[in-house]
Amino acid sequence: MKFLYKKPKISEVEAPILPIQIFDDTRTHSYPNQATTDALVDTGYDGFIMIPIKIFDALNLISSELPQDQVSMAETIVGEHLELRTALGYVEIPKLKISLSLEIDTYSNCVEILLGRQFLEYLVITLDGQQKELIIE
Amino acid sequence: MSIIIRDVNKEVYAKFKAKAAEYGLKIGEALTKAMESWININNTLTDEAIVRRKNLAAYRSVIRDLEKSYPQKWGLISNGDLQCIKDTHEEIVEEIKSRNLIGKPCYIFQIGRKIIKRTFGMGSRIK
Repeated sequence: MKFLYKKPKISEVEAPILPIQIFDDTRTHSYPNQATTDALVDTGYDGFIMIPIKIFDALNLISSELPQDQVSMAETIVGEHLELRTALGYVEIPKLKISLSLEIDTYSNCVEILLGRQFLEYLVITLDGQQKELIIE
Repeated sequence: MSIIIRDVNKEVYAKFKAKAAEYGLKIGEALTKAMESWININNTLTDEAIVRRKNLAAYRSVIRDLEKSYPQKWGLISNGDLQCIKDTHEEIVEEIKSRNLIGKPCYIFQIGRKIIKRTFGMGSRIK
């Protein structure tokens, strides 16, 4: 299945995007409520999924958080340390009928949904930069 | 006064020490200022944040015993107490539902979970 590149929220350059839906651990809350939201494929991030704190709160992920001592320390490429919060939940890609139980990270200043490398390990993905398409086998 | 502090993060301490030197402060002086700032920040905690702190304190008080007695099992903490230990994550989710804990601060954890550092190659999305 092919997904066309789109412009992310804070970049002018079109990028690989996947339409996803996020659920809390009990599957009583979802974001968005219906349909899907765009998530940027980011191979520079090695977690599963990073979401803005507003979505983290809306999903009631406070009820399925990992203890702070079990949350990974995060570091940027320039050596900056970030204080993450991590909870357990689900991500679905409805078009592919894929549902994954995984760790959902958030950070106070995060503004974009990112799909990291541990998420991508579940899939076989081809990035066709010439056609601006993300292809999943 | 002189004190000994254990379990300080090595990298954070190195940065703190360098920053203190940059400002011409002794470690004790810089630490006093940092502690004052931390106290001020934490004077404005929400009820939710207070419960999360209680949950963390509960986790820290039980985790070493749990690692010996229940390795690989799953735990649930809420209201500042260990609620239950179960074999699977799914059983913990059922406990959250049956105890009406959805929307309330809880900690879910697998005992002995390995923690891997996260890294970000693109700081631009993390303003």
